[in-house]
Amino acid sequence: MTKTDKDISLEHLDALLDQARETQVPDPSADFLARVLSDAQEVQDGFAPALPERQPRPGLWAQLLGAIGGWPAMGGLVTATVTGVWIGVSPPQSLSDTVTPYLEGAGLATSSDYVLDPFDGFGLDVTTEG
Amino acid sequence: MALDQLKDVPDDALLVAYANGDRAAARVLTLRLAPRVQAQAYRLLGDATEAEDVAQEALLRLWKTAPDWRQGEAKVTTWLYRVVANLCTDRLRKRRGGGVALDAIPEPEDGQPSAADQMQESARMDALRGALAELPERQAQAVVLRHLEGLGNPEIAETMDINVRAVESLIARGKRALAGLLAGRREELGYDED
Repeated sequence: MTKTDKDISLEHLDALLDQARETQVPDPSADFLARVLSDAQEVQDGFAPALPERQPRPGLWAQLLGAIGGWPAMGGLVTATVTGVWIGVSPPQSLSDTVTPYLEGAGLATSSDYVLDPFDGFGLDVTTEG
Repeated sequence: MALDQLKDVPDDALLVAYANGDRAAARVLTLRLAPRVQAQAYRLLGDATEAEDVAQEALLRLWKTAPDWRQGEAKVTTWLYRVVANLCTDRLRKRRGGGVALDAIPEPEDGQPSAADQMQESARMDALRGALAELPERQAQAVVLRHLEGLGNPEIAETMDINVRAVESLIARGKRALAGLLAGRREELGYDED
């Protein structure tokens, strides 16, 4: 770009630029700082929290197994009834009737420890003969 | 993390902590970055309220981008500067011919320049800022970083991700362009006697 008569001189330009650099910057207002912090926190609140690794809820069968001490405790209890409960065929009551005596005999449960505690919420009375 | 432990932590590490929910990081980043960004905006705009608006907007964009921030790429301050420059350019272009309101100029105190001098100064700054806004972005950025922010050429090179020779070239071209743009405003600038 050729310099024309009308261009301002580079000396003048430098003086302008120096003036701009030396401009007294007013201190940021406290209100401004508060607004910026408020924005930061609001945006931060919206970040998805790091989720803990999801623990799968134990299935009912896993709860039952847990209550009677796992597969090893099943030992000789692999009866048709137990198998029936496992595949969801036999109603819980028969499990209680069939299994609980074994559990009590093996010292794995007392009469108050019903394998079917997980069913408590269903309003089923599994303690009496139907 | 306690505030005093954070003061030496680099910006980008703080930003990652912020993205992970660290409240102290939010405070430290605000106190560290907000005044700096506001000052840069003020030097470009010359108006305190507008400078705060621009600074707040630039930082809001930073907060929102924090979860995606990749350490080791751009510097936080570089990223912020570019956002500020773009926001200021938009405002300056809208302002064309407007300039700072006359009632924004305070009454002169004893020993201070007269009102007429202050107005002249203000008009010159307006003219300069308006001209900067009309430059190609890279030329404006190089000139501002050198002459308004006072950075050395190596620092500017790092900020703009170019080499030092390219910085020198951008500044030289930018200043020639400014001189040309300001040519039409010689009277306003008070340079007619030349």
